[in-house]
Amino acid sequence: MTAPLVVTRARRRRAFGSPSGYLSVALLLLFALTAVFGPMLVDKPRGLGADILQSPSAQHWFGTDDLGQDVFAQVIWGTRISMAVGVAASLIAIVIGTALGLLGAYVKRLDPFISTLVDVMLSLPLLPLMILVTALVGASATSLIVVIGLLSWAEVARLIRSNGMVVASMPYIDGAKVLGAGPLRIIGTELLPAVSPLIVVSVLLTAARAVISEAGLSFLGMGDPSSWSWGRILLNAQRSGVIATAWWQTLFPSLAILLLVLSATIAGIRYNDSRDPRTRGV
Amino acid sequence: MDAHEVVLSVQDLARHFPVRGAGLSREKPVVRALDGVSFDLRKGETLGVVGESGCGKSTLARTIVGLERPTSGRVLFRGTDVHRTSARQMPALRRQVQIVLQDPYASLNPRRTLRDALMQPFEIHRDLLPRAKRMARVQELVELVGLNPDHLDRYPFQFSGGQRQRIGIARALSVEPEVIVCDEPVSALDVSIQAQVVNLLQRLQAELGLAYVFIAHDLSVVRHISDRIAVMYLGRVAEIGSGHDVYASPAHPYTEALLSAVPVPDPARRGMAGRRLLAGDPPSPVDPPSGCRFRTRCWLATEACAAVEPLLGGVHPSTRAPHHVACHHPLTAPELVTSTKDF
Repeated sequence: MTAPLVVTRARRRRAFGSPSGYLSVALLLLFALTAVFGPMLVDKPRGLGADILQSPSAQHWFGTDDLGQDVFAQVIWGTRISMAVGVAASLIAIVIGTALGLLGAYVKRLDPFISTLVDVMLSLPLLPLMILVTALVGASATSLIVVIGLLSWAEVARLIRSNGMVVASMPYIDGAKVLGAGPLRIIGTELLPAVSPLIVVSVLLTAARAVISEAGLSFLGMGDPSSWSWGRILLNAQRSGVIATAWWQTLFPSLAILLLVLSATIAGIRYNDSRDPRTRGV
Repeated sequence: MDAHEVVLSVQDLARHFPVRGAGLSREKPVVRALDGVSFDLRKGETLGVVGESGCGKSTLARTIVGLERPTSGRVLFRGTDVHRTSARQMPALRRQVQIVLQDPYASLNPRRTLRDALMQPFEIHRDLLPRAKRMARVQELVELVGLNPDHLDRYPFQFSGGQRQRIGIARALSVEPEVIVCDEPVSALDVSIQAQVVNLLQRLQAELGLAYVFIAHDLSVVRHISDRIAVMYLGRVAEIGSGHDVYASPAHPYTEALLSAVPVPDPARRGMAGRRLLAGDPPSPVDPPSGCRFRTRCWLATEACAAVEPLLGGVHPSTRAPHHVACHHPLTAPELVTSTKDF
């Protein structure tokens, strides 16, 4: 009875037992807590401070910008938007990618169309396209989520499709078919549970990429002008011409982006490796 | 035997697979995995199908249960074409013909417990049994195939190969089929376990009136369970007749060669009957030989064999039972009859 639990527990231990595993998960948790509770503890950064362009000090941990706004507060508030956009966009990408990937893996007649669509999506220059579409629909957090989500499902679809095909050729799928299960039931109750560990990995990796895309688009002025995000801090630094002198204004948001992306990627890779008996540990 | 009604009728069934990477030639080459197979299966009967690997046994099984669509020919269940029914009739018809798969290790979803695996058929066919009665039915099925009801929450990896094959049989039985196609159900099991599973299949047949199409390459297992035996070679039936007749006096040279390859358990009798070793490999099913398909390896082949394709037909000379052989030079010359309708 407890065997699968033991298996899951062993897998979890294998995945997150090493320092890189538990550090990355701890960091992800820290970011998530910051996104949820940070803005409750730290005042929203406002302009009109007297201390402009201060370097990091005890009073302003990450220094201040040209308007005297606290960079630490900006990074804390930016965490919420950056993570929200990253998570929401990756969820859109996961849902589309998984649905199309499984459909392609199981329904042989649809596979050529889906594969071609995935190839086209993968070959598109994504950043210019994202800039173009965001500029057309207007800059807001919602449009960022939709644009990033709709343009980054292709890799998920390819990953899920190739793994779904392995499962789809298993004899037990034939068994379900002979019992009378239709394609939707087989995809939903046989293929989806089999690829679900991969979906966990994909969520992490896609979210990491979505955070980068969000920061990039915000830096280019495509973000929501009324809310804080890490890309917007960089944009402000660039706009006010202090990007070369006020290193603290660019270093800390960049560091936040780096750490979040790195921890999400490592957590994803660790989890993925733990499923492969050949690469346990390391 | 004719008193029994025919439940499954396979008529001139063919399944050709396109050859991959065949280029741009106009005439696309095909693998003739199954090339015109016909037989009837009566209620409560077991038809054994034997032949070496690649002769189309598994394709036959997969086409009968609807996993492959036939290139031509029909599979009739009580007169209804299994492959050409309306979508509404399909579920009810499909569940009448079930399959027990070859590999007990890959034929169960590793993520489902025994309970889930046996509940699944009732979730697919919701009208089969009211929800409240399903658990009792699952218990019943588990006991029917000789598994321990205390193991309902176990996962497939916690069962042995034989136990898993019992689960596969229970799943097939859950939807109350009349015909079960057994695609090499025991070839992956230990010999001692093979006997248990075969005996279980025989007991279930007696209790539930099932008809089996029993596919195997192990001739002794097939002999043990089958009422009639069909010998396949290169996508065709070479010989079909009652189990006793086929084994005691094979008419087709291929059947004789196949039987002579069965190991003799008694050392004193070894070497008494000469072993008939066939030269070479079976020809490619992409480009089968003209006339008789077996002629390239047959020691009796003449020019007629290359020119004219022998047709199935005849009755057994001594028992007068229908015994069809597709050969120009049969070993035990069955008396040819003009009509093949009686089979």
